[in-house]
Amino acid sequence: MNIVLNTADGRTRALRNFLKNMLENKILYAVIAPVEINKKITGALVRSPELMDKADPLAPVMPVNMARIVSDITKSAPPSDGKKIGVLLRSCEARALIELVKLNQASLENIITIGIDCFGTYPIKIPETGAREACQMCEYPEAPNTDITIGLAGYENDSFIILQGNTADGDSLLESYGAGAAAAEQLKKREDAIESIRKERIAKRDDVFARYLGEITGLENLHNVFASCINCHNCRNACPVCYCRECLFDSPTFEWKADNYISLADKHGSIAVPRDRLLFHLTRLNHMAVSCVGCGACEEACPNGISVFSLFRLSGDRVQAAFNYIAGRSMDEPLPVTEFRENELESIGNQ
Amino acid sequence: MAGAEANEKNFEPVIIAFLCNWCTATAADLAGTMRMQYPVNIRPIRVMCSGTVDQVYVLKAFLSGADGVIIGGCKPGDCHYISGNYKARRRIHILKTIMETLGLEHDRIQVSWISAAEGKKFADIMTDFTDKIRGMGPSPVKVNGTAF
Repeated sequence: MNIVLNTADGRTRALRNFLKNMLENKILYAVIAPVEINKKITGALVRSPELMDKADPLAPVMPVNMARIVSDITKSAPPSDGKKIGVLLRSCEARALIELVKLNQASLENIITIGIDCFGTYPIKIPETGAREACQMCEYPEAPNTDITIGLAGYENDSFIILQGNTADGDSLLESYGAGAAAAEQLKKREDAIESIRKERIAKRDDVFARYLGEITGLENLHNVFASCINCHNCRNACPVCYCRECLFDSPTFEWKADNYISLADKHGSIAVPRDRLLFHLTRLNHMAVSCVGCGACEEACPNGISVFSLFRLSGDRVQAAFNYIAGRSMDEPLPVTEFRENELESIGNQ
Repeated sequence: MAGAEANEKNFEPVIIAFLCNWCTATAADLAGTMRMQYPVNIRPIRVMCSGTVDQVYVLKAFLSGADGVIIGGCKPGDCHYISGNYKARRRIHILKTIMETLGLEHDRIQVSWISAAEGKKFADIMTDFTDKIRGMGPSPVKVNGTAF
């Protein structure tokens, strides 16, 4: 089912009032949303209805991928019955959450996912540069697989937006709000708008991929990309789907004795330090590319502005295509590394 | 590449071989018992299953200057742990796809299914792979003289 939400007083206020109503009527026990505190946008788990007035669901920034927060909050134990949490998610956040659930790193029990049409986000550090490249080339303006969709696209000149229920949970929540349903042409308007954004971004994506192939492929380019990497692993920490609770690269596995480093330098003439930077990124790529949703949080978190996103987005696309898998597309598709076919990939092992 | 060409005659590749305990490592033993030689370029590392070979170990060998990496496992359907080699196959496919995307020489990584009874096949494959890598020349892990 769907409802029309009047936005005569502004979209932000309409959404705040809607979420406030959900809290007041105990349909939702709490809401995870971006809020504005002291002129800064941050995420918050909001319990008190009046604090919903600080929510800013439309702020075009993503300080952290919320899928990561849902994982943090639910992985030990999901909310108890009667304490449903609503979570506002952009497309990349919703898709990352699907991957985390498949990886057993988040639970959707008693979680109501609320997807919101995304027009792109700006970098936190230098917003003047415009929407992030990750967003400009994201072919998923609409958050998939959510209980509720907040439809904004196409209604820029209207005084309403449309909330669509996609699951029984989503439907019953909207029913409780009790507003009128949308007309068919109103729904069509959004579908057309989404489709046109998607087309524009796919064209952009293909352009950018062609550029990446020139910029990041080959050992020399990789060296240039990672020469300023300081091994801080911020990209890993910001990545919504990097799922190991304990990372191999935080262990002493690759710590050598000085003589071992010297003998490697002996072999090559010289070895770049810090060691294992390319190893770290290539390993993370191998582990994460199948689940990469292309949110670009990795690059946002890099203190030296290394274009780590481009590697992930390009390789992620190729690896996912190799298994006919798309990260976040469906809860029912098993992760490629958790299953196999007896008759596949015949070229491997039979040289 | 001029340097590599000049060195071609003297170039002896270093090849890291991850060999499954139940099939390929046993085949290596059999090759020895049968007095068959395989190149000294091969540095075997016995692992319990090809399925334990995470991409990170292949990459570590590659980035530390190994000219080739070969992973030996049981034939599909014969894994001692039922499905380890099928999982290895997917993992290596991911690795090769990424290496190909990033313009790294994924041909330097090879998987071979060699059963415990195939001592001769083991020696042959190791010889062929060594020849192939020798033909490819040294692994290009260095940029302007520095290994990354």
